[in-house]
Amino acid sequence: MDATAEQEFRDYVVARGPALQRLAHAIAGGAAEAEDAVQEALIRVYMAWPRIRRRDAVDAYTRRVLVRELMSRRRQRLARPTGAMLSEPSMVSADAGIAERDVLRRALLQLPPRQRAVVVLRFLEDLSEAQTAEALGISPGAAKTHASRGLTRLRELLGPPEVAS
Amino acid sequence: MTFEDELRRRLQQLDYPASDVDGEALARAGRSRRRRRTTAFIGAAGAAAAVAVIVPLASVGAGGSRSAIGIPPPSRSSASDSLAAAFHIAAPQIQLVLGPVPQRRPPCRPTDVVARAEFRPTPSGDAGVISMVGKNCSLHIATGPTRFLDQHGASLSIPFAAPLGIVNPPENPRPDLALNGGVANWGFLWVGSWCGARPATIEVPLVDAPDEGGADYGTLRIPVVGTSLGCEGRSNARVVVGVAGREGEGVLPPSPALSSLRLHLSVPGRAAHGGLVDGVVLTIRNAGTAPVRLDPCPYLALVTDAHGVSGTEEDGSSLLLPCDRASVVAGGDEARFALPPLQYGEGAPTGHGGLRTGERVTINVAIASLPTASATTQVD
Repeated sequence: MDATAEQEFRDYVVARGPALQRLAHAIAGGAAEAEDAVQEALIRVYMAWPRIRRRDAVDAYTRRVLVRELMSRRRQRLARPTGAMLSEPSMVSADAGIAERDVLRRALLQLPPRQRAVVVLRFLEDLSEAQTAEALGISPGAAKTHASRGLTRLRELLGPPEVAS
Repeated sequence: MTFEDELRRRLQQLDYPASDVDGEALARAGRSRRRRRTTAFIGAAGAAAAVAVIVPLASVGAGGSRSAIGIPPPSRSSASDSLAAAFHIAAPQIQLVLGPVPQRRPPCRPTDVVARAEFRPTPSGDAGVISMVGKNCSLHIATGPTRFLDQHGASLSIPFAAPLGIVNPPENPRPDLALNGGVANWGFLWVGSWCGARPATIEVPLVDAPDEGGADYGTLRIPVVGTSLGCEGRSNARVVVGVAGREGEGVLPPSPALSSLRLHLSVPGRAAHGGLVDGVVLTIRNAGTAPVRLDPCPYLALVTDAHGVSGTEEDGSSLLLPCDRASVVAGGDEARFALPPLQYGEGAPTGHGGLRTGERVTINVAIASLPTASATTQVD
């Protein structure tokens, strides 16, 4: 890969790294899993970088790799802390929103992984059903079903908006 | 505000532990991995290439005399004979294996699949491999082959079971790569005596596992060739079902004949440097008195655990033993194999695989049905 492409990749990581981490943390069951998945996805993106001819397609490609990486981790029987590239989770400062965020995080974790991924992609990333389905490698119909079931379950867990907000 | 709007607002406010993602470090990891893919030994294709770099060192007789094993040129199965490459014992899963799950195509029906099944005699039974090629479809196979039929279509009363109750059972950590792609081999091993009708067909149900809905897409009935089963007075045959795999991956269950073998690893005290551990020697010792023929030839599972201050990282690979160059381990004897340099800390591309001088790297090696051997070295 030439120097220009290398620099483009580094710029992309700087620009999109935080958003990818946010997405991974919303879907993953833990911080270490999320960080591992982001790291693995970006290494894969680097390896594919010369073949990604349309730079406007990088986001969709990266998201697809990341989400499928997170889904594939369901298959793993082992879970260990990993190497030293990403730092340990930082302390979250105390504020009034902590309890609310904690409730939402716990509720998300009660969804099956694919439902959780669909909900996050649809409502955090604002993807369409078709884009969500493409990211997960499932049919749009399945994405719609997962979204519907996920929302129903979250309503049960979180209560109506006026209570939840 | 609708529930969806409220959910959107709260998702946007979710905090997460912000970490620095170092683009240059990722690029180094990517470059390293690309090199390794082209020159070394991840996965099946790489494992075949690695045959050339596991070097049998010597066999040592019970009396301590050392005799060198001749090393003929490495042999590799040709791409046109995919079943030959499948007649190997699958490695056990002792490693964490990552990667996106390939998208499933529509489920294969029996009429979508071109299949064949072949037996070959081995020292402890007849090894069999089924080859299945689906036409633009995914193979939904939950259990592998389930029964034999005779030439009239009658079921033969031979139990089929996975190899249970053994250490390090064979396992393909990513069967989805073969099955979702619609091109897969599946192995099995027939052991014991059979005095009944000759098996003419083997059945493979195209079904989902119960926890995936249990959908049934029909049953493959595949003619079998090459059977050489013998009758030794009474029938006590059973079939041990192997695993699914792609072309070039071992799919057979372990042979009972391997049970007297034990693995031992040795590595110099400070053999880890720059992300590689060099100088690892695998010794396969035959604790029994009868010679053990390495047929079918087993795959090794290799895992390096890099123990750093921030945790442990695993790197894994599989390698096919060069059985053509060390095919028999005599009773009380051993065969030694020099392993190629093993990578550690692949995902932590900060010098020495993310480790500091003096930190530890543990190497684990396993063959299906045999206890794992481990050895530890330090970063130099």
